[in-house]
Amino acid sequence: MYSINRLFFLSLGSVCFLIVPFFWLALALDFSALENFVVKLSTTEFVGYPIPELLGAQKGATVIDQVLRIKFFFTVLVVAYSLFFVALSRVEESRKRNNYCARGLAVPLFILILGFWFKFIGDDHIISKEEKTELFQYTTGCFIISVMMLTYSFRSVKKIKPQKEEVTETPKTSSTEKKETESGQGLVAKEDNEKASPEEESVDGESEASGSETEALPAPDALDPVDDLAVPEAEPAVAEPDASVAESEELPPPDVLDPGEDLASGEEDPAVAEPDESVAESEALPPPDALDPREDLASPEVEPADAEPEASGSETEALPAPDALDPSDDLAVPEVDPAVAEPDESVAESEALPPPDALDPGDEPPPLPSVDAPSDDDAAQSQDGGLANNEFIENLGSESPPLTPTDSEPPSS
Amino acid sequence: MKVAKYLLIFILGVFILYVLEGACFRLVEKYADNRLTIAWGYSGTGTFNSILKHLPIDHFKKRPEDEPIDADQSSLEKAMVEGEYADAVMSFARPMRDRYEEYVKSKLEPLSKFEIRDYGEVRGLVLPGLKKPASLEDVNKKDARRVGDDLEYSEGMLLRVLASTKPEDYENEFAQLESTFGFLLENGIACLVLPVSSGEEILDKITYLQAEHKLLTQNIFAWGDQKAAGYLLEACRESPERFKGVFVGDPIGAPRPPNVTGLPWLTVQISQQTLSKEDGDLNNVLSWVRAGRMINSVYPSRLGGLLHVEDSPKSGQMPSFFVACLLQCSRYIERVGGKWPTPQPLSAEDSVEGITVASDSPSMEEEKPFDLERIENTIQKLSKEEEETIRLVDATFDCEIVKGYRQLHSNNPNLKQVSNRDLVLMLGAEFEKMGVEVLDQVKARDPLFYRFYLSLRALEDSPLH
Repeated sequence: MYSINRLFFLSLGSVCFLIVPFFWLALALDFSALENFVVKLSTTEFVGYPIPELLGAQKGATVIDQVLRIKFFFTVLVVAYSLFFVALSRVEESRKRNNYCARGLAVPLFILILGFWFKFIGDDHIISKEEKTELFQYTTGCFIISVMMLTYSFRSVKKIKPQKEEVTETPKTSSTEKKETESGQGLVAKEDNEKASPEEESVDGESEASGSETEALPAPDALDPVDDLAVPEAEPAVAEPDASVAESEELPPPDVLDPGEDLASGEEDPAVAEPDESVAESEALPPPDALDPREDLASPEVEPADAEPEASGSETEALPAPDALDPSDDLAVPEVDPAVAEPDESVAESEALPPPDALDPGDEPPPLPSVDAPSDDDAAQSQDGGLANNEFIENLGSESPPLTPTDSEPPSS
Repeated sequence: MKVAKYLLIFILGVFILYVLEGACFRLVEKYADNRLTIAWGYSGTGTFNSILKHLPIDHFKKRPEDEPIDADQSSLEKAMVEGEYADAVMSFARPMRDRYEEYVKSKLEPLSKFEIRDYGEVRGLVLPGLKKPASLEDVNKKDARRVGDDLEYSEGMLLRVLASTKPEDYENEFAQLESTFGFLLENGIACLVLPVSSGEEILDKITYLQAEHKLLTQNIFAWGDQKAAGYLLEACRESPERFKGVFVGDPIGAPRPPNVTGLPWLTVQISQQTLSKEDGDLNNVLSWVRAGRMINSVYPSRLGGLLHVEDSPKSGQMPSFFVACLLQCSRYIERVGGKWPTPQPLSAEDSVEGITVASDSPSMEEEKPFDLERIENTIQKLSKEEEETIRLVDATFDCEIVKGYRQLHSNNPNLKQVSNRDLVLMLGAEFEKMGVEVLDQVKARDPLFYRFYLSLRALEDSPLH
């Protein structure tokens, strides 16, 4: 498969190769500007040396000889580099390709400086102050460039240490999880052990979905299942509601969940995966529009989570305003789900989700006694409350009737 | 793989070191001079450095006459070999030549602080403004009225020989050479443009100048191009002892060199155009160059005869190669003092083996790469010279007045037998006879001499003596 990098070298080599016949053709057709340029180049001096002399011409050589020498030198140089670039495009790894390219530029440059200095030291060539300055500038410039390029080409490969990444990426993961919890507040929650496995699976699923480009990149920090599992904040939040909602243990077992569906669903949004469960559970229920996740988001149950100090600030801003969405549309097109950050993931989720019409609109929502819990002042409590709501709704999902689109306000406690 | 890597790094390091050292030698004047001194020793007492001579550096490039002789070599090829040799052996002067070129290009009104004087028939002599107090000898010679009076002198005098007596040519030449003169004047060299119409005329004017202004014309350097170069070589052939350095560019009508050793330092610059003609002049020039190097001393045997292949500068200034040779010669004179070799006629053996006395053109076939007799003779000569040198060099009681006295009476062979100690006593006694004031003046002039005299006199007067 051709990458842009490889394509660049191939096209560069081809263009360079094409330049040569055009160059000679232009000279043959007396393209005066080019001819003048070459003649001017033959009289140009570098540190007091005429350019053709640096290319090996004798001091007393005629202008025609000098011009011809410049033309040949230019041709050889361009052909050599075009072949080099084409050869580079054949190199498999882009890293290797860049390294060879850097070396291919640095080494000749370094040899040129060295060669020039050998000539300059050996020659009986007197130079002025300006020429000395010129010599210094060019030498320094070329030397720095060649050394930098050589250093670049010999740079060591950085090995990714997962432990270090865990440490550095924990905050990111926690924020991601927060987002997930926020977005998924209105949806069904799962038990801890049930959560862990779909997450891992979803990571795998995403890595598959992201394709070959992601192979070259470092592992995306948010997608590390280990990190997600390692987040300590999530567990108490999930654990507490388990204790409080003991009744939910009696709910239908999670075996209704299709592991294949979970695999396809986005891992960073367990809340999105949760509807599957709810949907699966309420397969017998009629029309879909009853359960609106947006409404759940907009419901006062969500507010405690939103009210969390800066934790959800910018992340929630990225989400579209829940009011703007049509609940019916949302149900019909699950990928528009604001809780999902990436469209691809949402697509994946939407594919995995069973048709939402399994929900029964006729069922009335039961009273929500646990919703009051987030209204506590403590921030942790509020977050826990959010998760508790999830669990509550999860418990609710199987028994309670879905909300109808006509419900302007979510049921309050 | 690892070995190859280290080897590559080592080679690269050596290359970089070589370039760095070469860059310093090429661009830093002091470093170049120091490297020359380390390689050749000090002027006059120089010997090759025992370690450095094994390295392939420019200072130890073999002279063309030391290389194996190729009988089929044409004059052009010989000239090219000579050119390569000259470039290599004078490579230490490149930073100085850079400086000279820069001076010529950028200096405005270079003669503004120097005095230009006319001396009888010789006009337009630019003086470097060097002065020294008159010594007793100067008073005795009537060069000064009193001891301690200021006397003008110069490290040398450059005569720019002009093969035209037209006043406008003289004016043009003088105007073109102002910057060159300025540079040389700053190095203590007086300068003069000398329009002549023959070699004899050059000698006449030099004789006049040396008679009238000894201190200014102690060391004469002469430079001429083309026809003037021919005149100059003629004059040099007539009386080589008059010159210390001769610089000729593209000579026309160059005569054969004289059959003498101890010629002045000769530097020839030839353009590619002249070189391609390959006429009789080139052969003679080659003979001159080789004859100039026929001396047993490191510096003159290397720098005494050089042929440089380069086109003359278009602006009319003195070629930088000449300037470098002139200043090097001046430094050498300063170091050796009175030991500048006087021209000696070549012996028959030398004449046969040397190229200087070849009939019409120098025949290299007569030179033998290895001749035991010649080597033995050379060794004998060298040992004799060494003995003489040891005898003459007396480091004790060496002071300015003694040196000056010896220099003034360098023609007197008896004086060479007198030691410095005796000379100090003798001169001191004379000064004392002349009065206390004179002795005080001597004390002010050369306190070292005064101390020597007092201590020696005390020793003489002591009962233990």
